[in-house]
Amino acid sequence: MGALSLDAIYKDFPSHRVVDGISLTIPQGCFYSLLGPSGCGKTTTLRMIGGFDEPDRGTIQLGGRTLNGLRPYERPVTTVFQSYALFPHLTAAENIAFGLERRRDPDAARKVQAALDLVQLSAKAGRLPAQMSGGERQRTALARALVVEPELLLLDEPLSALDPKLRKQMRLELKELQSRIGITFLFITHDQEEALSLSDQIAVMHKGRLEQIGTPQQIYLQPATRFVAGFLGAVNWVGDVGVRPELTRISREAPAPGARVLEATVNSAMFLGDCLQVETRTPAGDQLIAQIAHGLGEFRRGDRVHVWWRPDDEMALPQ
Amino acid sequence: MKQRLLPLYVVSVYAFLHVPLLILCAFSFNSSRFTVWESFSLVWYRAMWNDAALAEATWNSLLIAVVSTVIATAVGTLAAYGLWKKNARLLSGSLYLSLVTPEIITGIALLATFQWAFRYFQFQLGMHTVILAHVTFSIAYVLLVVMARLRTADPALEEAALDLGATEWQAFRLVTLPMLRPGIAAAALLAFTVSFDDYVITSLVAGVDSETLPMMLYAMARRGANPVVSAISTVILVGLGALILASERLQKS
Repeated sequence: MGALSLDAIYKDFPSHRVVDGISLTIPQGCFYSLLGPSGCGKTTTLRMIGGFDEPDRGTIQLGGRTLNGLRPYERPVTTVFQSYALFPHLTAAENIAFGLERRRDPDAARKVQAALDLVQLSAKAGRLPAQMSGGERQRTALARALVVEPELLLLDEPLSALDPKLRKQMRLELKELQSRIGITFLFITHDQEEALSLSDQIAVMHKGRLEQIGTPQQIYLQPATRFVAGFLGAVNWVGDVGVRPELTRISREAPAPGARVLEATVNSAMFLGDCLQVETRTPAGDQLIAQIAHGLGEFRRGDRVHVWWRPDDEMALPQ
Repeated sequence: MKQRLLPLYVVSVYAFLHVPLLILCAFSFNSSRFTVWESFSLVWYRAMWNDAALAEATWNSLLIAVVSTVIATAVGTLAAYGLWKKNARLLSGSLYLSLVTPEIITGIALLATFQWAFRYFQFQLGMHTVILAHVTFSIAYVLLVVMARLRTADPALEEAALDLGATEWQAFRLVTLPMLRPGIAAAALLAFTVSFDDYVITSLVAGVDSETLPMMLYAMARRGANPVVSAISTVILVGLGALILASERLQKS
């Protein structure tokens, strides 16, 4: 067991470069997310770690052992696929037993039962994938990948096929499971909320390159690039200074001294359930959005207001 | 008005399609030799059963169909798998060519090929040339059916098998093959049917020892209306109909 490290990984497809010099290190036991829009190269990166694609250049090491050139079945790494890829002719228990049987594990029966218990599927052990719900399939895929005790688990957008309510619940289960078993998880997603809520570390990817690596707080509050700032959530930009809408305040009277203030006119006010979203426009043409709690005033189109925030809440982007 | 015409139209179309077959079946149970209904009888079925030449032709047809089906199914399935793996669209597309080639052309081409080969190898037209010919045209049908099954398959399945420790061969044998099994069975049934059915190509490449059932039926029918022909046709119709139904059912499962 040990850390996973990618060193200057490149991968070209016939039409373009998909992965453009990625280097990162994932400490053992970490819940690590690769976050980026579709087509950013995150899935290809995952496939190269799993052994389904080979990098054109660069080395992949796990615990000091080089993985380049090893077939998927030679790597101590397993994958939860986006489609789950459960074997349709095998039951949940048989799917989970598949990897143990390849290893001729004498303790297979007990391990399958333990894995079924781990994901609370003991009652569904005899079901075929077609007879399971989306959540049950997802848990079967997870159990099947974990039961062979990999050093690293790769998860390729495993929650994206679930409906939103189930997705939130599975997110909690996934996080809880990872901290219990302590295996390194490398989680691929395009959903910033998923990445922020689950991860110890996040690497944001864009056009084949890494934009930033950091904790969820660092990535969200101190983005290194404009892309990262925008990808993780809405931003009000005033020149090169950015501020999140939920940290932007709005009032008719001028705020206490010390705040950054702009005068603006209300464009629209929208009730979003958990907050009121007020869109304003400054005389300079910047559009500023403030998300404020209820009871902090009523705003109507055409109202002249002060838009302000604390200097501490500004994102300082390096030029 | 509309509601009345539609059923009438449907009945007419089905009658147009199936009445000739029903007439054939009906007269196979007629005691008269002529196309005038006399009374119900199994006399022609008894005559069919006791005909030694007919038995030989049937045996030939079955042997050819079974052997060519086994070969065509094996080759066709592996080809479909390979084309799917390599995502070879042009190569798979070109297979349709052999489906749309007129049978007579295929037959003549095969005959020319065999005659050319006879110059260099000592062999004659016979069962083996018929089997080879049947394998060539059956492969396209097998490919078509197996490819259809593969097209709906998740390519991640084999990757998942490799990921869990299976070698490429184990992934194929333990995951892909079981998943393809209904498609392969359907393809085999279809290959059997087209082989058992074939007249045009077979008659061109058959030798003296390899007269098949369709060839014999054709020869008998040419000599004039014969209720034995009707009886044989009815049996074939029912048998192959059952195979096609089984094949359809397998393709859906």
